[in-house]
Amino acid sequence: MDKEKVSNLQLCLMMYLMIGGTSILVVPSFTAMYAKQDMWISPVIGSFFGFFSVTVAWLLYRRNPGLTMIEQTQRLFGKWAGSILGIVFLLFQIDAIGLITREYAEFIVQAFLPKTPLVMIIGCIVLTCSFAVRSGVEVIGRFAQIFGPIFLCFVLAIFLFLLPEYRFSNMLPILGTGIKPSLKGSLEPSVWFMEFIFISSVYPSVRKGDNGLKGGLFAVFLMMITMVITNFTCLFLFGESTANLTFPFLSASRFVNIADFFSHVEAIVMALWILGGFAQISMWYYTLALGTAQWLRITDFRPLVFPVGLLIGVFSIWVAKNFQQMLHYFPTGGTGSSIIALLLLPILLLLVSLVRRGGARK
Amino acid sequence: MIVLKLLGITLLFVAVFIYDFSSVDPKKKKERAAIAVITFAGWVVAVMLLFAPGLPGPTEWINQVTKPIWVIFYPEG
Amino acid sequence: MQTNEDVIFSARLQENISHLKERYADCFDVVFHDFSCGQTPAVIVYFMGLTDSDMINRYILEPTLKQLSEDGGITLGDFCKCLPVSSYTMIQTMDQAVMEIGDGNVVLLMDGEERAISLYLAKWEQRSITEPEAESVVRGPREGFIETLMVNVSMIRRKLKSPDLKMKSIRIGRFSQTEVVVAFVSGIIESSLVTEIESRLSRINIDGILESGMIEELIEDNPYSPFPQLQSTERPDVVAANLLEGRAAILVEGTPIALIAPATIFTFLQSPEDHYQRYYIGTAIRWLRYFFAFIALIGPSFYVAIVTYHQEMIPTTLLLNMTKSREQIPFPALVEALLMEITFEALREAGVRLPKQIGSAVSIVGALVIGQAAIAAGLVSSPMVMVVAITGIASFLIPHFAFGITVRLLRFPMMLLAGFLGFFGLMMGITLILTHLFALRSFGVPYVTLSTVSNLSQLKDILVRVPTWKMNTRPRIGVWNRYRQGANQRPGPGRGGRRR
Repeated sequence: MDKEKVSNLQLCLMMYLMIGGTSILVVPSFTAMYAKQDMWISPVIGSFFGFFSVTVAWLLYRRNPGLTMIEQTQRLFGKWAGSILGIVFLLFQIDAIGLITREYAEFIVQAFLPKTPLVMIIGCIVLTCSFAVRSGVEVIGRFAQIFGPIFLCFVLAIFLFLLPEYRFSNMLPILGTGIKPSLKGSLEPSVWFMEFIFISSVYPSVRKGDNGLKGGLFAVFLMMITMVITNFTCLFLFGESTANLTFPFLSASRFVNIADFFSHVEAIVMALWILGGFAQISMWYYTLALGTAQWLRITDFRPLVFPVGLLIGVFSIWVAKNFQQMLHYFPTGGTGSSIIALLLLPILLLLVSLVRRGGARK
Repeated sequence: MIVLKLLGITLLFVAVFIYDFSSVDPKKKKERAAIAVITFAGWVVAVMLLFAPGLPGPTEWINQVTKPIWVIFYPEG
Repeated sequence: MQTNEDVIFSARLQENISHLKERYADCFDVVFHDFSCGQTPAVIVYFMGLTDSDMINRYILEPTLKQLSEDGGITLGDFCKCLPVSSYTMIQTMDQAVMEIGDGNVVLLMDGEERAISLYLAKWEQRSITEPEAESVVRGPREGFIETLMVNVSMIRRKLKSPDLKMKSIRIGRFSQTEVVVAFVSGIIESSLVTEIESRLSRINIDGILESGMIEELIEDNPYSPFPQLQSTERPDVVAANLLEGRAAILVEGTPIALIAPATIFTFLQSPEDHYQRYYIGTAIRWLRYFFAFIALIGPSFYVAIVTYHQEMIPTTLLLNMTKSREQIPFPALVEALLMEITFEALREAGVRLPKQIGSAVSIVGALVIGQAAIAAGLVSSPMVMVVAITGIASFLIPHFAFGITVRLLRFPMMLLAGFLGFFGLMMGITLILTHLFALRSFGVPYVTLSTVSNLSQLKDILVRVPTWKMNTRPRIGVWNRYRQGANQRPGPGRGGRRR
């Protein structure tokens, strides 16, 4: 079978969904905690990291064509150092995916199926995504292509439907306490935006002639817009008490009331969230499986998909004892590990790559 | 009860293991080894969690290890 | 007894005849008729029911007997020139003779000749051409294929008279020796597709082919998928339209169902009528069809999920009504749904076997009566019956039978998922089905090609039905032979013809 190819648009939407799913759930409350009424500025600041990560990934790809990050570490650092760095990266991934899966499962249990054991939900999520991942990146790409726009449309739709309920004055005073609160609030989103570095695992599969850089940057842009819109929705609706809600956007969607008939549409909204979640977890899962296979220098990642799935399931349970602890992790260890794995490591790779190339050219 | 859960978990892991193991060429030692190791590692952790649900997880460790970094941003922790 | 060697005719008539008689031992319908052409003894061999004995008398025996006055031997070559039969071939081996006789032709052997001729005088009883029942339309031709391959081929020829319409013939089946024809328009179709089809067909090693369905199962891309990967149709205009779009058709002797490859999910949701009616109608009905196909798949699951897990989604007045009707029901919604759906399927299947007059009446009456009785007995609730009825009607909107059945069957796992895991289960089911569909390929062409936002022209025939004068490009199947009509085909009073 020929190598599967993904188009530029699919790449863009895949990355958008990879980062977007969970971020919409929790970003508003984080940013509200620190930035208060300026919470809508934080994603804009955070997106800087997104553009940065995509560019770094792109540059690395240009210098090491056809390779994903794991492969690049092996190439640039040699066998031993490369493997150690690789495993740091992989461990970060497995920790992250455990968290994300856990977060999603918690969300579903709280919102939909309160009496279902968490393990069951996690199992179903992992099972479903494992089939998608096993079928190849092209399938995930198509999935993203259909659900990305739908996802975005629904975010917009909720924003628009709630217009009658908004109190625009919540936005003021803009930058009343200076830029510092927005900066502090942008920390969380920045961490998420740094995850765009994972675009490097999809770059090898992009169709020839399609500009991966544009796709990635556009994905960051879409992500930023989405976050800004969600923040606005919560801001105009709840004001600063957004910080007190666990899933502010979900609560916002509960307010939607068209002609007294379309009330309680949050079930449909949540359904779409779940689909977005499948896409997100499939993307992370693919990156992880692919990365593991490459780290072990195995050509085909398919046989690894199910065992890795089991690992993901196990990690999602291990990662936190309860929801609160999990949420607490995001600003603390989450930030720390993300900065190491997603920021410092790629920059290090890029520097080494530049130096090496410079040497060879002479 | 715990025995049942243990049995269930073991069965699941064994099933996945058998499925993947047999679907790969016997010649490809590396793939088979990888499948075996990953499945086994997962099983070990699962069993550990079954018996000691409060096991400190990666989150705690990472929190400790990366403390120097995040403390800059969130001094209040 | 099977022999693998192909025996060439010997010059001695008796040897050939005894060999053939041995092959056809215990076949009472084989006729060996001796006569002489002048001085040379000759024999014709044929199957009684497959040829027209009147033709044999008139076209072979009559002119032969007129030659009685000639002296000396006549060679086969001379003989052929005197026969008023326009199509015949020379054959040289026993196996060829057996095949020709099996096709209904008459084989003539002469003493002293190492060849024989096979005269195409086959004729048998065949069905008249009627409208296919499963694919009837309001507007459009009412012809359907019949069981005779040559007639079907001729129907397609009448629609596409160009010599670019190629028909390649293969024989499949050890005992059936069924003739299978691959039809395509060279110049439109991608040649690798034809080679692929031919190679898959030649791989088939089976006792006999009775229906195109068997061939379909033996050459499809993914035999484990519930979804059909080749289109099947009884209508020559559907075949012709698909041939013009760059697909290939497979016609099988003995069945009126032709296969079309490759297929995408959208070909199964289209009806030929979409293209014959005006485009507004085509588009509107198409949307209706897509919507109802979706309902057919997830209707009952959606209902079960909402009623069991997400009651808050139902508008309050409706909710009160539903609670009232569901108060007495002993079963949870899932069980109720499964019960009703299975009953409905059973009724439908039973209706297929009954004779025409009784069949439809029984289905309708049965459904109504059973539904009402069930409600009265307190076994199911009326909303449930409504849902089942709508779902049933929805599944009838799918034009392609095999695909419709697939959708109907997939409903059940979806119901189970929704019953156990609510909306999450429903989404999980949809994701699993989509994953499968996205990975499915039919002869290398992806099954679902909505991933063509970069190529909007493809959507012209999928989402809407664009007017005929706007359908400038062909669908992208492999290599893209782009334009199917000249530019600027929009009609109007000033275009062609005289301005008023």
